[in-house]
Amino acid sequence: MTTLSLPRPAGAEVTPTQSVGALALADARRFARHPLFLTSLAVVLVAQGVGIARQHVVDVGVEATVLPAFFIGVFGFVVAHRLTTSLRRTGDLADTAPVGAQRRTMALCLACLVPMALGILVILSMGIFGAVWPPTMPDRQVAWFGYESNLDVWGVLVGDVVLACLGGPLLGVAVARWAPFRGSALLGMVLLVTGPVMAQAVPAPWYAVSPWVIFNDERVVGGKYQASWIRDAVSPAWWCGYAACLCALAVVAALMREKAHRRQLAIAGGVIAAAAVGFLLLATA
Amino acid sequence: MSTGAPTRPLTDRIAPLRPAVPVAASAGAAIALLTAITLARRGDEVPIFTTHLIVLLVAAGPAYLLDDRAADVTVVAPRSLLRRRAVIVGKGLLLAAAGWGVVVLLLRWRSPSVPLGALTWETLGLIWMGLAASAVVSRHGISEPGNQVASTLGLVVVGVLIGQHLLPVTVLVITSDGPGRIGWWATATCSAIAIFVLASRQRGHRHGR
Repeated sequence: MTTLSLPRPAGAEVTPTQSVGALALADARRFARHPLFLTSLAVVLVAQGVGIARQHVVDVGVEATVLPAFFIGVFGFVVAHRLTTSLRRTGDLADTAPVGAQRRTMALCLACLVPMALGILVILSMGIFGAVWPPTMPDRQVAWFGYESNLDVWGVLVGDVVLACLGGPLLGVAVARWAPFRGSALLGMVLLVTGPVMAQAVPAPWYAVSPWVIFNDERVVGGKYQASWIRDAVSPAWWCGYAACLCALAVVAALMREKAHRRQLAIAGGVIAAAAVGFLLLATA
Repeated sequence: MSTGAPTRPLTDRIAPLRPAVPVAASAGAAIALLTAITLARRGDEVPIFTTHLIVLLVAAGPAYLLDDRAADVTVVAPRSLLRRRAVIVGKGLLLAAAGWGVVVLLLRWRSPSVPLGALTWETLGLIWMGLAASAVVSRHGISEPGNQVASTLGLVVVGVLIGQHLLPVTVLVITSDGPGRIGWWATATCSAIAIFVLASRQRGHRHGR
């Protein structure tokens, strides 16, 4: 008698949730150990260290969100793309695994919570250091707590850092699932950066359609900041709902690469897209 | 019965061009993006930030030239690695130069204040940095280093653009100081060419994959 003929012990069957959870943990570890993610972590830490040494971590208010958004969000895009395409590079092994491609994609999407967690830590540290060394400007107006409404400032921090740190990697998974050709990571990254830059030239409030928005404006004289403020055209809090919907759409798009559950995913995608439009209208109202 | 010479299948005929496809694709993407931005801005100049992204697209393509899926087979070819690479890189650079030429024409048309000479040196420097990095990575047993190198090059360039204020020196060309940057990029180009040659010198010394 071999062990193969032994009956399975009761309750030993692995549920889909358990298998996805175990895969997600493994992918999260791979994400956290990826050299590019560690590089982005180092840059963010150095930038915060330099800010602490100079005693102004958020010297220009919410404009300080650009650095973590890029170094975690866009680096995260490339990391997620590489992790996803690694399934293709090891196709012979991956195809023998007892877990379908859709569950592996779901696990990769869950692993994107790692950069999001880093984004949360960044905005918390910005909040703490901003309270210790409040930013000041000659014209006594800074796009920060105390000058703008707390909801707006938190809206900018969550939308431009936390959701950017989540959305970039999720988009990386979706792009890698649908366009795994050579160069798609580079092209996607350039478009991801170019889009928000070009959106700044779009008249208000339509620039809010961009997946990342510069909410603040500033007055600069001789290269020195005199004042900064959050523009009234778009409500950052409502815009966060729009950005969250974009993140969810990226997950749906990544999962729709496989044929299973396509109908349900299409319906979910439609509902999320409608919600995104609703949030955008509320943000620009 | 056919008496004519046997015709080569289409895949065989286009095979020699295959390494240059990513170069053509990235240069094409750069031209398409620049055209779209130029038209969208309706007469305004293209910002220097966006111009650097265009430079990046043109410069990252050649990093794929050293991708060699059949590295285990080609390593025993009688021609030296450097000579084989010189031919591939030469063809790829011609294609990249043609793409950059179109970009220069578009920039000269709508963005006259952009320092085109310095940007050309920057493009050349980035191209050779990508090639040198690809040569070094492939020396470490990775037969298709293009994706890794091009993505990393992109992140470095955009990272420098965004984190410029954290750096003690100005690395990328800015509108006002174009000529001053040429020397820096010429030195970087020469160093990258030297690294490329050194990394491609030894024939048949690839490590196992």
